[in-house]
Amino acid sequence: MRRLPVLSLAFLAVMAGIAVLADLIAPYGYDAQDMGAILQGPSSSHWFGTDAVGRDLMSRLFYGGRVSLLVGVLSSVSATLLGTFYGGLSGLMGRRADQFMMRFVDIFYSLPDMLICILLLVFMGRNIFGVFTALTLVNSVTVSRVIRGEVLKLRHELYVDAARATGLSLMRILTHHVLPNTWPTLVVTLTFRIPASIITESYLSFLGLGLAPPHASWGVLANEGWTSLRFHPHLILFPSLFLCLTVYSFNRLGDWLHRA
Amino acid sequence: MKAILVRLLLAIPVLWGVVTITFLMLRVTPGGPFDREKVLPPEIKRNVEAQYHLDKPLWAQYGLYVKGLLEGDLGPSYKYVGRDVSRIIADTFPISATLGFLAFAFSLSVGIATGIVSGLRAGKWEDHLISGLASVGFSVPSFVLAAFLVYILSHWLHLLPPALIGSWKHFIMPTLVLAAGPTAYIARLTRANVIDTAVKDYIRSARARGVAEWRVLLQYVIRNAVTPVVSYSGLVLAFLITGSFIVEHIFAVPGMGRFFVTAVTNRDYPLIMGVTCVLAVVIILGNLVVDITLALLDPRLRERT
Repeated sequence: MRRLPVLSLAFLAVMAGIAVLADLIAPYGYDAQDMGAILQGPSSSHWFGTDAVGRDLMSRLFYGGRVSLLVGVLSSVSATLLGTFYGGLSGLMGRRADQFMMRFVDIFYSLPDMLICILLLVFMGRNIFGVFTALTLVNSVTVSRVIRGEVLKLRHELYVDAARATGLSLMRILTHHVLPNTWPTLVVTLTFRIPASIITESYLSFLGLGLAPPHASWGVLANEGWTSLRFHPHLILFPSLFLCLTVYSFNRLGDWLHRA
Repeated sequence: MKAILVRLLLAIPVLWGVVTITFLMLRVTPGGPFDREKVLPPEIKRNVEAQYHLDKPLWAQYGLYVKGLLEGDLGPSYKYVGRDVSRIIADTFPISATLGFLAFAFSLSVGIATGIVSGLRAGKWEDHLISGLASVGFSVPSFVLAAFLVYILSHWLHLLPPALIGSWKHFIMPTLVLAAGPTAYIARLTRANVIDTAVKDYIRSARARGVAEWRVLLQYVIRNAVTPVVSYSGLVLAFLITGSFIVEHIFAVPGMGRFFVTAVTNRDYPLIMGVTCVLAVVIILGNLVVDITLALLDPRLRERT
């Protein structure tokens, strides 16, 4: 067993704190413009500099972190719930139903996540709810495959047969007898879904298909920074740094949980 | 041979499903493609809609679309007037395919090579270096890597062009950025496989029989460790398609991924549909090729399929 990734956990705690307390600790509003201070590099009044319309980058990063983390965590949690029940029931039910339910999942699994997300966003519009729903659906496909695999391993255990014999409903067998034995897998799956969602969200926003300005997520900020890369690299440097460190920390945490 | 035919037949309902779901989703979406520009006079709007069959009921539009699809006609683009979707795809697909192929070749060769080194030297400095790089490559989004490379190689050192497609130099950065994620992924898989295989009984008995060490590594360890990696090529393909959206956007590569993203912004539904269909076909065929390759590499799988 390896050492607990203390640094990663500490970093994630700081990020969570920033996301929750953004209103209190951000020096400026996320859309507060200061036309007198456009495209400045880092300074004492704007630690991370300002963007093309004079908004304070640090404040936008804090508020953006709130959006990125919230979307990433919430969509992963709901995807885990959805995928667990879908995959769990599919694994517990008979062969026929399982085949049918999984054929459906396989279609989505074979298509790239981004493609499905983009199509869903066209359908639902560019807003935080659309991004959340798209990420939830896409992630639940992965989760349901993992959980089904676990359930198939357990479905012929004696205690499952016993539960069946006592005439419990499938749902109750799933929640009370099967799932308690899969929860290590569940936690690991959830931990790896979060960084994946955060990255997908940032990609969507980077392409201009996710959230729309002036709202900020790290992807939106990176998109804004990309256009002025040549002369004002700080605008993409800081969002990238926050994004990469967060994703890396989540992955480290996931690796650790996986081995533990 | 029979198995291949069966797989191809099974692909038809999947494709049909993709086409139908995408079609319905796009048509039910509020906001037509001609709503956004200036308001058109009603009769002109009616003419435009008649031109694109938008005045017909939904099922008739669907019928027309599927009929066109079977004839290889993906319909006209809403945005690029006078250009067929089929034409646009025929123009852009080769560019994306070239880029994808380069990235695929890079990630497979570099990923497997570094994965083997790292697996054979597990715990040594080579392994730490490669595993470290791999987990960075896994966590860094492609636009971050792209920004880094463009800033250093183009803006600072003026070695490579920052965008567009022309000489071979234009392909270097897009290929690297596109390949980074898959390479890291393959390296990780290969490393794990090599470590697992190296302790198998048949390796020990090969050594006991006095088989030369290089032969043990090459013929027993590496061969058995690398074959399963091929089965992940299907996932790599999906990675590459996702990556192509981003990379072509970043480097202004006039490929299919970039047109797809613009089509989404423009609500150019026929183009969105067309690219989606082509991608679905690419994925299905790609997975088929992966399965055939696996069957060729691993005799155990031949009987089952």
